[in-house]
Amino acid sequence: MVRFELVSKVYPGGQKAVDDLNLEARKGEFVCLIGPSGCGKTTTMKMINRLHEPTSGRIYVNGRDIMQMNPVTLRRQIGYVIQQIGLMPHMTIAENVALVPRLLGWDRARQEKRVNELLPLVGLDPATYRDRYPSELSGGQQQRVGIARAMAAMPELILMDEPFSALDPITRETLQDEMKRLQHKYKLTVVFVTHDMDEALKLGDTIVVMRSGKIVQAASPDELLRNPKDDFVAQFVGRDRTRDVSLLKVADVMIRPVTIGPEHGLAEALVLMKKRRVSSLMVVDEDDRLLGFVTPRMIEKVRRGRVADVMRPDIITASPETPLQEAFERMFLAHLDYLPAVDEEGRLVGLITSTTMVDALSQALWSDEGESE
Amino acid sequence: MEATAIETLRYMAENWRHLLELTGQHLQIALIAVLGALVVGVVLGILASRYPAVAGPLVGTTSVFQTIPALAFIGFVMIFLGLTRWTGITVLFFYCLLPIVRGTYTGISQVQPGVIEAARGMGMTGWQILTRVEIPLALPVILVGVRLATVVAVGTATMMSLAGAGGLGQEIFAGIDRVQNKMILAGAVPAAVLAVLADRAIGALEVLLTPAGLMPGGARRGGRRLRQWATIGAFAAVSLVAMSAAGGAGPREGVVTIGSKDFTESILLSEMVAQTIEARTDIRVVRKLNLGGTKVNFDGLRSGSLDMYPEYDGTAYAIHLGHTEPVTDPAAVYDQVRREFEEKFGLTWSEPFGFNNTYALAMPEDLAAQYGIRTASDLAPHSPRFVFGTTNEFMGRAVDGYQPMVETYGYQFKSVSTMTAGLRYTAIQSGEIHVMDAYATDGKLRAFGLVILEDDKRFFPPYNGGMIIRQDTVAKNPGLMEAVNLLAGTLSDEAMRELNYRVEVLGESVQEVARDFLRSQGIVQ
Amino acid sequence: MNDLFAVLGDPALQQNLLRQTGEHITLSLAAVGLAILAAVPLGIVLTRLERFAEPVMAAVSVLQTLPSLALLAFMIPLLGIGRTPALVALFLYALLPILRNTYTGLREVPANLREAGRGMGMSNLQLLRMVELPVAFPVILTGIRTSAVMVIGWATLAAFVGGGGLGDTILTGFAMVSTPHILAGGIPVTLLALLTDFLLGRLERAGTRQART
Repeated sequence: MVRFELVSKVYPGGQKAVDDLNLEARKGEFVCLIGPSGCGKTTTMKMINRLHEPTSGRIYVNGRDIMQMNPVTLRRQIGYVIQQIGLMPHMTIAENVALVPRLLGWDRARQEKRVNELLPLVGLDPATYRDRYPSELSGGQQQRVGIARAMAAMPELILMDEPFSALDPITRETLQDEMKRLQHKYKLTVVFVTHDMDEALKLGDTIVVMRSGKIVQAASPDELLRNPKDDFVAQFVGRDRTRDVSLLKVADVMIRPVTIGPEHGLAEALVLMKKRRVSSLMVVDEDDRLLGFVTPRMIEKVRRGRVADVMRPDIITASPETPLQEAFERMFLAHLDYLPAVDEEGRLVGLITSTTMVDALSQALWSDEGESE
Repeated sequence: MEATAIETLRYMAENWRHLLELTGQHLQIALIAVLGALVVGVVLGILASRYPAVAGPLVGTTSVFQTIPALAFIGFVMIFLGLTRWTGITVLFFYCLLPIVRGTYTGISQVQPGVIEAARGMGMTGWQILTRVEIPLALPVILVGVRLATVVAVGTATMMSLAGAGGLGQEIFAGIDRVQNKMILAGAVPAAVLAVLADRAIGALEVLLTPAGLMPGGARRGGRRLRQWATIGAFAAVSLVAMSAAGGAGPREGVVTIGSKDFTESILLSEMVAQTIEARTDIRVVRKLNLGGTKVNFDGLRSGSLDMYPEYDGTAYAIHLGHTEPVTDPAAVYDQVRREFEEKFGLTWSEPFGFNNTYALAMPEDLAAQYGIRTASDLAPHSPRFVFGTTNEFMGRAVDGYQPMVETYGYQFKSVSTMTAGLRYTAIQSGEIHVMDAYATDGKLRAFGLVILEDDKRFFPPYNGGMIIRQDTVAKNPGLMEAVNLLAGTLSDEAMRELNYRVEVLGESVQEVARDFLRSQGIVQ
Repeated sequence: MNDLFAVLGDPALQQNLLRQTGEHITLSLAAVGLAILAAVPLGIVLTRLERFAEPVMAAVSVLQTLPSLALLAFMIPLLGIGRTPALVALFLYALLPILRNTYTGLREVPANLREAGRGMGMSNLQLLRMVELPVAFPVILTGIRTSAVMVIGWATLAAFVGGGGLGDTILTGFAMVSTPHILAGGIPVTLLALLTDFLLGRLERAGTRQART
């Protein structure tokens, strides 16, 4: 569908953005370009619809050399979605979606029909949204329109430039799911630029990791996770990711503990536990130094008085630097449900619980299980 | 074009004192207006920033002022303030308000809330926050407003000579009126230069007064500051020199102020009277020549900013006294007018100079010959072929103006075109108009090859020239009236036309022509 | 006031006022219309040829700084008297606000809209017509409004050079010591300016509302 042959792009300043690149995206393939900023991923993508022109080499779309094609005609055959969405503020949603069909000279009835087909596809009710203006929509809704607009003229190829990076995490997840669904359903070829490895892993059939204008590794997500080609890829894939359980530390998985001061009343402690749904409270002084802990059981025996009266100071702790496996062993041996983490000065900095532990371990194994879903 | 440029430069060199004085008047009214607007506008702007509810209406109201066309605005303010420079200053003041109010309001509103909060947290009072934090930070934006206001004021001040405020506009209007490009340019070029200079000077001030922390990097190097100081210095120097040349205004003892209308004959008469008074008495004369139309002069006289100016009995009869019945006894009109002026206005008239500058119809000699037109009646049958060109004043006159004239002679002109007095000559020469009204003693008639059609139905009333003088001025200055009356009866129609011709067509200076004539009459040595 | 009504009652004056109002509107419309025809394309060209933008804008700003009366006066030696010099002076005066707003309006069109448009396959002309001009429209309209109000005001000066318009009646008032004449000409021209400001302001707000980003 898209093929790069020895493509280079040198900017007027002499800076080489893309360097002898060879790449192929097969029909129906979802290709993610990823890498640190300035690696050439966006330039690479924008050369496909000739928003940037290659300095040397050839690019073929559907077997045709794009340099032999009229750029305007070329672009009308390719869907395009950008991070800032770029809906035309002076046009209604329907007009925005029908823009490319209009450029292609479709008649009005056909444009209308297409708008009414597309909006439901991206989860928007045509009756409600067709005549609204972009400013009346949320960011997520706007990008749904952006996707609909890109698909309007039924292109086989869609280019997406970090389309979801400006959205909040929940909206982002939803739109990723929908994009993947649409891509499957319509056998779309997608070239997708991102800097978010989670996103790439989730969406891509092939992930192309780039650095300094060159491809470092192009592989399936699974392959990339299992066999990163070099340290750069390993680090890039592993960043913020904790795959190797043996390497995890307490600091990587600890959560914020619920704390209380020693001078507080016991009734107050109970209410706090109930409200935060925890089975114990960490007792700290004004400087966050860990003094001990209280459980409902201890309170039950006394009922009245202050936290200081019932708390138990004999508590097993870990440092944030403690390897997770070691912390786990301590918990296991002492039959503890939780383990507070304190720094050198005795200040409470976090807490690990058995639940935290399970989460961490399952996430580490996700690379294997995630794909089979 | 080149010839015009050289002529203009020569004219400017010869009349530099006069032009400098006009420049001074120009700057005075503009700067007074800007300063007034600065004080009021900044206060209003601060109020708007404190009370958001008034901000909208306030900015709205001040922007309405800016929408009012200048010519109309002058007229409106004149109803209340008469024709003084304060009318001009007031109009300019209102034009200046919007940019300054908006600048102050926007400037203060843009100060970040965090900065104010920090200042308050430090224990600054409201006044300290305003003067030490908000205004310094808002200063660049306020100055942008001041700059806009100054350009508007300096530019629009050209209009204010219509309100009797003088300024470079006076020279432009006079030039338009006398068909003298060199005069137009001698007024327009300095006015334009002044506006550009003021714009640059305040722009430089903006750079200098912007707090260093708000400047984009590198803009405070010494060389740049020097250039800004130079610009500001140039503007300040021009202002000071010009304004000191303009001197102070206002009537004083032992001094008479003479006005004149904005055409050659009126200016000449005033100049002659002025030189006579200077030669024959110890009274000091302040010349406020070329002031504008009848209204400017008459209002000036009544308000006391003028002591005398030349007028025509026919004008006074119809306009000031408001008589609508036709004149029955031309010889008695002058005395009747004088008597009624003394009763009604506390103004009196000198003895008549001797000429009768009545209205007349004029057309090109060859055209008149071609159609065999000699009298005003001869014109009637041919009138549908001709375009009549005239002044606004003639169109509006109820007794001796266009309408009654057309009725008397039965004219049916193809069309009528109105313009200022001087432009009629240009228009008739280029064939845009064919017949025009003219003043009988106009020196340009001869120069443009025009003939006067005989007023065979005696339609036009007499226009005998004389000086209108305030009676209290006469009483306070013994010998004044006697000196003025030395000119009585000395000027025939022919003599007046000749003097006008020398100034208007031959381009001799008013002062010189006046002195020559007074010498020939033995009034001055 | 009574004088005003007496003067207004004169049928000849009524006719004059009517004709002058017509002349005034025609002259102003022509000046602003020509200025739009010249300044909008020029503004577009300047956004494409950035290096000429600054000198051209500077030159036009100087034109704007010149006193309107001076500008009008400069026209007389060049073009004589009548409508032509008035039209040319008003036209020059109207240029800057429209030019400046066209230029800034187009430059402020968000880059992502341009990219989206081009990415969708718009030709340069389509991009201009379908994206840039509509988005910049409210800003351009503000410039037109500024120009129009200014031109209506300064068109009163046309009377000085035989260009007609409501200035004629005002000047008659000045010449004849007649406040009623000044009002008879001044009030309609003021209303004309206020009305134009108001109507174009409405249009502008309507445009801005729609194009919120």
